Amino acid sequence: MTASDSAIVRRVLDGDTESFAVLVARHHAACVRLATHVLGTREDAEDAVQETFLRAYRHLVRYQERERFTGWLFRILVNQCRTTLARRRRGETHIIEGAPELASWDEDVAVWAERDEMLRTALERLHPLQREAVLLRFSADLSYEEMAAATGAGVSALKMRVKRACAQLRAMLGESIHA
Amino acid sequence: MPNERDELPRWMQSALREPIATRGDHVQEIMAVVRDMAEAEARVRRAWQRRVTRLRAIGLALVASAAGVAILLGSARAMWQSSLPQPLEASATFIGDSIDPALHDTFDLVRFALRTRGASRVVLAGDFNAWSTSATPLSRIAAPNAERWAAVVALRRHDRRFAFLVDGTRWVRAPRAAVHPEIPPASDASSSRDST
Repeated sequence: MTASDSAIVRRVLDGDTESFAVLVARHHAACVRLATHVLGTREDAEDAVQETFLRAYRHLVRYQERERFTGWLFRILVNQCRTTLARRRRGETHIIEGAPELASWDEDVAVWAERDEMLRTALERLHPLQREAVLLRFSADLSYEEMAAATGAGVSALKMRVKRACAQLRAMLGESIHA
Repeated sequence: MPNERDELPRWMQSALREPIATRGDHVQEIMAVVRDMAEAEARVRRAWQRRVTRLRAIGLALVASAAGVAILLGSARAMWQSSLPQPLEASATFIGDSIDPALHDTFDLVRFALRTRGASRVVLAGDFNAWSTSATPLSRIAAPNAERWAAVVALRRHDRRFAFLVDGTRWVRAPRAAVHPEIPPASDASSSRDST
């Protein structure tokens, strides 16, 4: 029988450091996926995920079992991604190679054959909070309550962000492409 | 009410859930750092425990030293206090009558006693000896915890004022009820001098 996240957390807190590897293995892929979509590059995502797990380990005693471990972990990850994005805005400009200029998007959209690349670029163009919300909803598969805990925003605000993000993604990528 | 899942095209939802390829050793890399952190925390914990143990030992030593100092101070204070002449107990006990055939007078035999420490000479002075500071010395009697001085004096019944003089400098009131029990004690006004 597979041990629950909470049971593993208790083991780690009791001194069994190696049990933390189970948590890392279990949630690593989801964290990397979310961070990659938010940050745009795998390298930044891996750094953010590594820092997230280290913070989680360091503050594991603060985890309360009444919430899902995933929600608690994603809250750390979201904060880490926000820190990375803020660092970029302060001067370490990050340019996604191949991202088209917004003005030329509609004209060049046909050139972008790969859907994933188009999606990545479209996500990059969203407002950071909308991007974060839509990714937590559809990539991390969190409930709105878990999203609220992870982001600090209200449920209704998050619903609005997701709704607007979806509308913009549809507009940017075009209804015809997903047929 | 439209399903929220329909707001985002299915291919986008699928794309967002697709796994992202990462370095194969990324998980091991994370765990290596976690192990380092755990080891560092353990080292800090051990160092802290050693420090607490050391501080406890120092604290105990300080408490013991403080207790020793307190005991020494207490002893020194006790010694200093014991070095001072202190009247602990003064008494005058009526022993009985004595008739002097030559003087055709009756005397009260009264035993005066004073318990004190550190005194080298005690005398009894009063109306009966014209307040002489040398005529009626008390004898020293060894006592377990104090030095006791005593003298038996024959008093006329009107000799009702007296006092002890310790080491020639310190007057100590003698009990006024020392005289014959049938005679009332002297009033405060008549005995004011005995405590001079």
